Amino acid sequence: MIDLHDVSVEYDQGHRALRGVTLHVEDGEFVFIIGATGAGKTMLLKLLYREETPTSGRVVVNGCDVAAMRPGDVPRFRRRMGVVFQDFGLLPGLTVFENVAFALRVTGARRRAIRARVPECLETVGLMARCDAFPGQLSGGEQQRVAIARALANHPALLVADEPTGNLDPTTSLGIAEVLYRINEAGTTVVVSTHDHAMVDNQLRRVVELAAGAVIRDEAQGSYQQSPRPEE
Amino acid sequence: MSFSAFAFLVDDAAKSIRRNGLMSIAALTTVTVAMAVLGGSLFTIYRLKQFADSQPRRFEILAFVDPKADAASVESVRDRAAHIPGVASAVVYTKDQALRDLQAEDRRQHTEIVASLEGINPLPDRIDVRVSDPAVTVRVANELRSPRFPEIEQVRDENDALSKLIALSNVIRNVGGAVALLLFIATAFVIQNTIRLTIYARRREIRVMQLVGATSAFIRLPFLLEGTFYGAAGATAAACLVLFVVAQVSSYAGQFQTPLTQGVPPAVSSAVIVVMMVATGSAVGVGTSVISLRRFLRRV
Repeated sequence: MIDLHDVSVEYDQGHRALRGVTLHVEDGEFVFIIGATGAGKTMLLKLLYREETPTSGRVVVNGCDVAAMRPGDVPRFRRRMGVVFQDFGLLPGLTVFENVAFALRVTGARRRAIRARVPECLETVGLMARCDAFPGQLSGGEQQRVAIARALANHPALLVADEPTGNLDPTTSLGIAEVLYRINEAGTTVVVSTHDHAMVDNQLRRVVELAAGAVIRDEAQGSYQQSPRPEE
Repeated sequence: MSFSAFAFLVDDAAKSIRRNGLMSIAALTTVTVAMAVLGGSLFTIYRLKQFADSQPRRFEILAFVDPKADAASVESVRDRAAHIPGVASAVVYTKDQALRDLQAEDRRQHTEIVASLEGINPLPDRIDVRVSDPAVTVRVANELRSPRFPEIEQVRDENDALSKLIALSNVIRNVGGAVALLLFIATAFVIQNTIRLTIYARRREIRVMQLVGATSAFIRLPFLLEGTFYGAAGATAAACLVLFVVAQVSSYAGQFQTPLTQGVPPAVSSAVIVVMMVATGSAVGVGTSVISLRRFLRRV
């Protein structure tokens, strides 16, 4: 599903966000990416959904070489994955149903397909009952569930979540984690970056830890152990 | 693209136009004013050119003979004028005929010019000289003004009037063109700014669209539709304005039918004016939107 080989990302000023990262994620795996702020977690995820391209090394996602991809091919590439953010990224003027439908509409889906698919996604995250509510009427956890439902709309093979519980209390975070595990059990590969100790420790899933842009730990059933930042 | 996707885009563009409120009105107003000036100027130039083109086919030079000259002298002048190289015909328009025509004009216009003359005919005999080629008009007119024709008191070269018309047409073209150009620049700025504000207001939406895999064309189309709407709607309003002014001016000018205005071909139909202006306005809207999207959408 994901293959990163000796990947580095360098900014104009010479600052390196990632250094020689090599990582392989199988289809259907669930991986936590952990690390301190500035460790490179978000940059790593951005490479996966081709928001950024590597300065050197090779990033292959869903069989596509991210750096070699033409800009015109990016939309189709992104339709095969879902992306979830800490700030939810919902459109405040649209209802829950419309927010999820939006992901399908902008990819040219027909009305009938949208009417069939949106309830499925909302059922998965347990929010069908609130489909007519606006984001402002929902709690943070509910908003994140809507964001996850939207990410699922196009049947993604890969779900990328960048700090999905960063704005949520521990109990709500566990609820979001449950949803992510359920999605993973249905066959979707899930990559989650997080600072959330409880979320990582309770589940004993694969943990990849970054520090100063480098992978310093990759354990099949890791727990949250924030390492000191190595000297640059 | 499916119908529902296209309907979604159109709905999106309509929402954006409503949401922009005052900026939308500003964009529409500037497009309307710019297109009205451009359309009005072009229409005026077009009519003046039609008028100018229609003149040389009727007559070119009028030579007024001294009122004291007798019929034999007038006939002699006509004969000599007819033999000037380049002259196609020379016809005498007698002072009696001129007076009869003036009487007829009096009846038509309900005036009493002839009656006020108290039986005196002050009008001179006139020789209407037509040339075979409009290019020789000036040379023939100068020949008639020369000492070889002492009986001729005045020569009216219709080229003078045509030159004035052409000069007027040029002034309208230059001034109208410059004003229209400035207004077009203003229009481009206003539309561009409106599109930029729309992009800014919808940056979250655009970001979501990009992340869920909307194509670049799909993201850009609502902005193009919005720009096209400003251009087309503004141009339609401008076309209505121009047609209204043309109708008013035509109705007013129709009261002053003169021989000069006879034979001028009718103007193009209203539909052609509307189509041409709307097409131009739409092109301006699309062009400005494309430039705006290139400048601003990459930064989102």
